[in-house]
Amino acid sequence: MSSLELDKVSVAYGNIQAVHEVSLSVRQGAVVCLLGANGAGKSSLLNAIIGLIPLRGGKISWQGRDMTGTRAFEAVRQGLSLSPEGRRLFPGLTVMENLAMGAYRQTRGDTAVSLERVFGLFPRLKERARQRAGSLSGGEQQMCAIGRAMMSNPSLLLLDEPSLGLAPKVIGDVARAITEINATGVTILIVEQNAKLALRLSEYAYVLETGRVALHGPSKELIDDPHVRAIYLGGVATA
Amino acid sequence: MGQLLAQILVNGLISGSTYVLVALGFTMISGIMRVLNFAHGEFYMMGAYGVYVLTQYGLGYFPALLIGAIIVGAFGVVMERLIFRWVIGREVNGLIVALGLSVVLKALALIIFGPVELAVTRPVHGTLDLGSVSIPYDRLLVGGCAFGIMLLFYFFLTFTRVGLAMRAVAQDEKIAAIQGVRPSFIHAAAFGLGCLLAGLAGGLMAPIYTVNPTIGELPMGKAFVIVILGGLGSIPGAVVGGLLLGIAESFFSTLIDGTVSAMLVFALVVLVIIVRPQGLMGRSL
Amino acid sequence: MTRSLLVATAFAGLIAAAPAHADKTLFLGGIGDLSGQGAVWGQALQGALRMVQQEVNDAGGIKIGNETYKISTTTYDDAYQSQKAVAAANRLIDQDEAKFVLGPLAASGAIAAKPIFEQNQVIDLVVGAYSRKVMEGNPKYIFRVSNTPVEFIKPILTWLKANNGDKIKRVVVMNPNDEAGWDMQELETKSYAEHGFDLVAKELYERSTKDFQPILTRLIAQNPDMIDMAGSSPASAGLIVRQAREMGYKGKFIKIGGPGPREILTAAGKEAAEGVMQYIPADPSTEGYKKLSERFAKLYGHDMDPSALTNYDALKILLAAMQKAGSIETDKVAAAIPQVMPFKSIAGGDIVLGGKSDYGSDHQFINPIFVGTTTDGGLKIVQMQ
Ligand SMILES: Nc1ncnc2c1ncn2[C@@H]1O[C@H](COP(=O)(O)OP(=O)(O)O)[C@@H](O)[C@H]1O
Ligand SMILES: [Mg+2]
Repeated sequence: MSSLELDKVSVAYGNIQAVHEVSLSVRQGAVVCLLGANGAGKSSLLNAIIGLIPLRGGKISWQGRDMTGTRAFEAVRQGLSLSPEGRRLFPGLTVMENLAMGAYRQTRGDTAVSLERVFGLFPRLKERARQRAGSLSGGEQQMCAIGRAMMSNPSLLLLDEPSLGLAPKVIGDVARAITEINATGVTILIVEQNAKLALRLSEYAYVLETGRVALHGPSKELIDDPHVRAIYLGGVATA
Repeated sequence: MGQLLAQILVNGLISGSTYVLVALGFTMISGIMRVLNFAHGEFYMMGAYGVYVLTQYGLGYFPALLIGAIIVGAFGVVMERLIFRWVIGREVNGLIVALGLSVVLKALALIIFGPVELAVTRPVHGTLDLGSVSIPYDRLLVGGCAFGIMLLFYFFLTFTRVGLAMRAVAQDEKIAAIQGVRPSFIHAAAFGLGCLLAGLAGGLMAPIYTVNPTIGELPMGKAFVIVILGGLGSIPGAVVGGLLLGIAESFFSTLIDGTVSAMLVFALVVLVIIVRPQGLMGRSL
Repeated sequence: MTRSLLVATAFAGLIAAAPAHADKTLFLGGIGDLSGQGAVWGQALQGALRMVQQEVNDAGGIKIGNETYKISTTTYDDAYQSQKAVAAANRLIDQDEAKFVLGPLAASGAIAAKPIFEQNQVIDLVVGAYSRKVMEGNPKYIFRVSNTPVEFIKPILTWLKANNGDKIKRVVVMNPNDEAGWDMQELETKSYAEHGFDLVAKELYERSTKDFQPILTRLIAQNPDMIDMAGSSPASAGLIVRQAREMGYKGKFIKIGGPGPREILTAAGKEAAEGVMQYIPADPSTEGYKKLSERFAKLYGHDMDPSALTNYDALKILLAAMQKAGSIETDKVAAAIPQVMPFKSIAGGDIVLGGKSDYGSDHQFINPIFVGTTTDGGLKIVQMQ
């Protein structure tokens, strides 16, 4: 049974159509990845799901509820959460305050539980709790962004390029955290340019090219797909 | 000389603290809504008239100050919902709307109260003489209240959920929205709170000076200078800028004269614009 | 309240405009600040026009020559700005076909509008407008109807010397930093010296100033016996008085400049205002003043500024000159003005025509000059010789 369902979703900025009738589904509890070159429309699609951009056409549903037309500030109540591209922390707020913002709609008791969980995932954040988010290193900022997204205790986590600009060691930490989060039952849709990482983490993958789904299938199969290898895995072609 | 310097400093801190109250609201509204509310001085004016009218009806000064400011804040919320929400983020349009509202509010005050100077009975009398420094009690009260209000405002922004959300919206409205913050609520609340602060400042100053329809123009001008000095949208900037302006004015006009003081303050602002275009404290709430 | 009054007046105007017998209409224009810093004086100007209109029309009109005229008036707002004063002058002349205008109040506006009135041969009764330039060049149609410091400063200082000369030696003068303030300061510097006072400091401050503490800290350090608020606005003068008292200043205050006893009292508060002396253009304790003040209060809902009485007298002089000339041709009316002088003010005392020695022509109305001393919230009045 699939839980996130996109049916012919289109997104446009004025006259520029960024996403053309994309349909995809994500099984509850799964990690699914969305691959594609820069400008393919991946971020546009995630932003549309969470309600930051209105749909030009199509339908979105989550756990059987119609989410089409849901506004950004209502999405969190439906269990949706986004760690945006480029982290987009509130730079003038402390780490703690950023996390508190993530729990804006939570009760005090739930916030304490969520905080415990986030500090469990990223112990570094606890050390940095009183520091301004703008002064964190790139890796710490990414942890804070994912941590903030987890503070609302989401059922669907949208991750936009979590590995962007991070050192390999930090990428490993983040990847481990993603796996851990998924292990607690959170459904994850992850956008990545680092296809190798994304395909390793996910069970199913969609490839977006100029706003359209070019290809999709189980991640294990796509790793061996010549087209994917040629374009997204550094051009190492199979014989 | 030391005695004179102490007096200059005290004078400057007290007048600066009232500048800060007006500048805080102006800068917060600008930071959160990207609207330069040039009608802010008129909310100050309304606060002053509020105290005048309410005390005429027999209310004590402090209840009148509080109720007047709350009414001004509520009126600010109404203005935000009716007018300003349509120009959020469009600074030029916002400016025009605000200037228009400023003219209308002044004209309304003129129609209702006439051009005459009105006086509000002072809540306290006399002068505190500390030997080297003397401070009229009513100014001491204004300074004390202003600093108290600043402190409350600081606690509100730092330790309350809505205050936190306001700072978040100022820094990244869209990202704040996906945390569940309803931007339109924050806009209305911030605008109302800013106006409430202006109303408090007007009500505090009403017994010190007189009340007429144009009394908002001067504090508005000062608030603008302060936010340029301190950084547009910056709360610490408004505090630092306001106190700095108060002390600089007091210093220059005591030791040189008022006109030179105005010129030097202007030169200071130009210098800041050139050296630190983002203002002394940068641009963030 | 004011608005409903306006509506009521307009309505009354409509009824009056449906004539049983065809009276002619005499139009009197006004230019004054109705919305800005000088709105108190602007309202006093508008009020004088309305009161004269009211009493003439209630009496069935005014007979000039063989005609009976009803009066109609309009006052335009110049917001104390010269370009708006010029626009108002043009509008009065072109659209309303005005031949007689009261105002503007601001010197800059009066100077800017002067050539327009002269060219169109329209009689302009200027009010306030302290600059010498208003009267320069022997204008034919311009009269200044209120006293300026040139007229009242010498009598006041002479009186002061005679009555307080032993107590007042060191004087400080405070003026706003603009053309009116500079003129005033120049005149006062000369006059105080001539009368044997020691001017220890001259201060020009920005007109927008409300916090005078820094300036006063410096001035009080000079140990003055008297502070003259001179060309300060009445509200500023009141603030100066109050703040100086709070800072422990024990000396005297005088305001030899634009009058505004009510604003001074309001801004200073009753306690601090005690003993403040100021130039006053009319004696508020007279019957004539009280009656006019009551009529003004009915129109505007608050006390009358004394300048309304000066304006009222000036309009009465104008009407008397028309009757004397038996015509409303401006040349004849202008020539008749000297013939109706001296003219009895409604508050008593004579208004005469002068100015030749100071400005080159006798186009200055010289009104009685008073000094009012604030006593227990009221004014104790002394007339200058
Ligand atoms: N705010 C915007 N305004 C106009 N065009 C945009 C905007 N954001 C993205 N685009 C365009 O939409 C297309 C898809 O962008 P995006 O969704 O960011 O791609 P990706 O995340 O896959 O790199 C691009 O052509 C991009 O230029
Ligand atoms: Mg992207």
